[in-house]
Amino acid sequence: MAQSYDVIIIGSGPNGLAIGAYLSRAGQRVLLLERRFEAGGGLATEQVTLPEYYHNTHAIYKMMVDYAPVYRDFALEETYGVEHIRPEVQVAMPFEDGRCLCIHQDVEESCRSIAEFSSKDAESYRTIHQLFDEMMKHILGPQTYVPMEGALDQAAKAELTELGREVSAYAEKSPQDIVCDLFENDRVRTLMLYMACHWGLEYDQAGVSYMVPIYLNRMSNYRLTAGGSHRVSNALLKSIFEHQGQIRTGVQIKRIIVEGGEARGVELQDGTQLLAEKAVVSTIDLHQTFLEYVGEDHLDPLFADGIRSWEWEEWSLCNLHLALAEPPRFQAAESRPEVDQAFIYVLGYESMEELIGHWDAMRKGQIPAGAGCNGCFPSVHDSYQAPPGRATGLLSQMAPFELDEGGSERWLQRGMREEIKQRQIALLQRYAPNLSPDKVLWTYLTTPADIQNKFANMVRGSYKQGAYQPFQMGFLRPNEECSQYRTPIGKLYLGGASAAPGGMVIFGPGYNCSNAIAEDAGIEKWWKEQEYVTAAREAQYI
Amino acid sequence: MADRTFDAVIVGGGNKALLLALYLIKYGGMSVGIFERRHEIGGCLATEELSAPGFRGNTHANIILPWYYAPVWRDFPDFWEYGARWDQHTCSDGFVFKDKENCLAIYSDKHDPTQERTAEEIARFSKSDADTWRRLWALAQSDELMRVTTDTLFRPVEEHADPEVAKRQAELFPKLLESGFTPDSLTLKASSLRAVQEWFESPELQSCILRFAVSSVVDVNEPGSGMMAMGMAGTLPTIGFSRGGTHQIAHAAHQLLVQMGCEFFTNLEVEKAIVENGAATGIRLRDGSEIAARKLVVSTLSPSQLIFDLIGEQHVDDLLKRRVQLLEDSFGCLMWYSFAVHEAPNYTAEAFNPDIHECQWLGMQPDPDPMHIARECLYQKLRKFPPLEDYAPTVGCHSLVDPSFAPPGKHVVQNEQLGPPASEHTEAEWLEIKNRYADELVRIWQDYAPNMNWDNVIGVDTNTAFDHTRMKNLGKNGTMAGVDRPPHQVVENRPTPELANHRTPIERLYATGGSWHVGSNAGASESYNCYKIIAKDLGLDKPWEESGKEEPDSLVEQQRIVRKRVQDSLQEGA
Repeated sequence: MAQSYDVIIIGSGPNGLAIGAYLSRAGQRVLLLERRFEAGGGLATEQVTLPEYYHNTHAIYKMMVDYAPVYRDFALEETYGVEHIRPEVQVAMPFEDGRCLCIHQDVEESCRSIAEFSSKDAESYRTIHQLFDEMMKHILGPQTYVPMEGALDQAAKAELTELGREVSAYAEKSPQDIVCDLFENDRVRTLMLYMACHWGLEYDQAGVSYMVPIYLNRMSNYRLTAGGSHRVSNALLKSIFEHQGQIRTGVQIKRIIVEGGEARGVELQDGTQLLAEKAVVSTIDLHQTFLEYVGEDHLDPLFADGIRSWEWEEWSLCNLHLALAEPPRFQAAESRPEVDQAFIYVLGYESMEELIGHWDAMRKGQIPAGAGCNGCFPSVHDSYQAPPGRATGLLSQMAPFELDEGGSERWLQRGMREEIKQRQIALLQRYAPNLSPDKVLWTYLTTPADIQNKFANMVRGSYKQGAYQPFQMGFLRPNEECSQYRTPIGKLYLGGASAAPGGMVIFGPGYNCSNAIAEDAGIEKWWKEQEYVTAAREAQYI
Repeated sequence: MADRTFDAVIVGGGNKALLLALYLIKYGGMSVGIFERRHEIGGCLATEELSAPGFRGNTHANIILPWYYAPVWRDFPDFWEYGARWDQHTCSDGFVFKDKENCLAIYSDKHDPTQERTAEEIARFSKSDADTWRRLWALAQSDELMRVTTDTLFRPVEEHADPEVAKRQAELFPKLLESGFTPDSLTLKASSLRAVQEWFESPELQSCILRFAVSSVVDVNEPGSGMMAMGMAGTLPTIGFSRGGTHQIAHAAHQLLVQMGCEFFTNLEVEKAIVENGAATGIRLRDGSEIAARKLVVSTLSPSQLIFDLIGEQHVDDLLKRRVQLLEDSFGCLMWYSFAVHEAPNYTAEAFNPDIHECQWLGMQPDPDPMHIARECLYQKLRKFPPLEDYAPTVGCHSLVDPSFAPPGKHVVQNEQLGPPASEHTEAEWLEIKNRYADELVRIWQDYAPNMNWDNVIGVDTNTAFDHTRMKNLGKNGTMAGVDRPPHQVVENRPTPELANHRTPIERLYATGGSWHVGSNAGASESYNCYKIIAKDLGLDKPWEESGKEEPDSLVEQQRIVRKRVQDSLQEGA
């Protein structure tokens, strides 16, 4: 006998959990379906090295804790004890000569650090810090948590305010041009370009550079979840259970049941039929959702062609997790002790040429010898994550999925994995000399191919489920038919990172999709629009 | 004033805690709070991706037998649906031998319900053993044996001498004689090695049975485990696993519990039981907060943690203290590795029987002589690795049966081998041993499956007793069994006679865990039996007294239902 629910959600990553939590608390009978053995998707914290070392094996830097409605709507801190740590030194970029650029929470501290390299750039940073903050507060932040408007409507609205016009102007430039226009010092430019692009923007591509103000603003707003990222997903799952929602982990889907142009439920590989009266929501990638599970029989051929031509991300990440005998002591900390307390390190780029060389090599399927990375030592900020006196570490390097020699399978070759490990550890030791190889007690590697292996929706290591490109962003993410979370199939919704505004644990798609379902199904919302969104709407910013 | 109050407070959030809480809530009508030190509930019901991302391994409990959750499947019908699913490989057990490049396959109950295929395989080595196997299987399927086994598994030890239990044992006796498994004095006192050698003549079958005894934390040389070996032999066709990984069982219980109002607290370590006038009234956490228990506190910690940490030795008499200090806990220490691989191992012995390719619990030995296993046990007693030529590791590949264990086209293979207890080596030594053993194992493995070379390996989870200490109740040695299972540490003596019935020196403080009878498994016995004691003491509802749930028959029926369900799934698939 088939079992019936109000809403069935495919995927239990941050967005799937958010949708499940909003709708179950609204009285809906919710079922989540998860392929992995554990809910949370990228919100994963695992003991992958040695006993008592906790590693955030996917998402680590939380960039929208101060904006995303889920944190407040579910009172994640007050009710579920999910706390976030925001280190004062947010980003440190040490150089081999022992100098270091630091971005602090405090803008004046940041300016003092930048002024050591260029006083003009310090002034420039002070200006954009203010400007980007305004953009975030009035436009870019609120836009994340409302459905995208059509391109024309959005452009017209942007024209109404000066701030809107400025955001539009940024969008039309490439990240490299933005950074070079704003800053003169090569090292400052290198840091800014890295921070603007390392979540998947192309340094020379115009069209989506409204993301640059977001990422440069977020550069001083990153947070670490105390106890590990998985605590966020645990809290949301708990809320779902408390409202009688359910989850099935370790299940494989056969198809989304479509009858008369409407999604009626989901059939599992073992033949179990699960029916949904109000909505089936997919938070996984477009190929699985439409081509595998809906099936082309139910799709307009042009729509299906569009899905097939969806572009995965140009490059992914190669992450090395470390169990360390002691925390790093950076050479740069000799003159600036606070460097050892920084949250995110940018390592290995001595010049913009090297950084751009890294990107250009990735386009050819290569990683240049000595390529840089970002790094983090979470236990320095949260002692829970490592045994006393010890430390956890993460070195995260931009890397192509397909390698020119050996393709993506080469990532899974043991020799290659050993090589990456040695190279990354050597890179770290250049800046933190105390971390000689014997201080690295154990490692765990997550290459672009591993990301795809771990998360089936992150095709080709696309941890945002698809490239951030002009024709795949905003109202076009994933396409005109679906960016409002509804799809050509009735009662089938998209709620994951392939829908606007995109990925990175910002909870935008999940929140907006919950609203869309509530509106269509006449579900009374227990939550209210965030005040900053209402204010932005009233001021005609959005 | 207490920070929180529950009817029942459970210390620890592993499988014993979860399954007990189901009963305390549904049949005891209690509010329950579960307090877990780690970040994750489920304890040894753990599945993680340690060999490489996307490759699952059961990092502690792995083998699941059809009796494990019999009462839970009966009393909580959603348990299966929520993820506590059971399944089997083509061959549930088996052995490959290097000298003749042959193998013995024990087909699973799923694929060979009559065990005729297995008997034919055994007949390739000994016709007489094949007949004995047929008799053994008929006995293992009989109502008489299943009732007695179920009595043993799902009754607290104080009820093992009840007249109705004795009556069923008497009814079994003629069956045993008829089958040729006479429980005479010699057999009762013999080691499992000796008993198995009496019953079966082929060293191939002897090795299969004895290797599984080792996996059940039995030293095959230990006198007094003869009849246990018969149980081991009859269990071989029923070896199975949890689809999606054993952690799914924890998820299933967790989901049921949250829906029933159970509250979970993770990352909170309990410091002490609060004892007033000899009775437990709550617990104090490390952070200083206090949780009140209106009716009872249950410990699922190790006996040592229970006595010395939770209760405090001032409340415990000297004999009990001494007995807990003397508990043996170094035999059940394992190298429990997991290899992410491009190809599943292809055994040379597949030419002898291709079905050995898909075997859940496959032993590898240079030749069939079971003395390899016997010597390995002796080395284990000395807390040392045996010489390489005496290794008798087992391996198994769940991804052949359950594709969710590995990315498409790839596989994950697990390995069990006895290894030194955690306390035997320093951290630095362990880090070296972890790598060295992987090298040794791959070297040996290639002799049996030439494609199991380092080029085939993507990553390794080097899971050892040192790593198992992440579960504090596995003690300083990181033993999978909590405490070992020599004859003086099982049933009415597990962990000690004073504690065996789940009561403790403190009133209203009960205890269970893997160190209690039955022990060293991820099943429901220890929880269910603990509930039976609590229900008796506190006058709670007793599901086993409901009509249609009479025991042992309703639990025997559940075991048959789950096996049938898995057999039927094969027909549906075909």
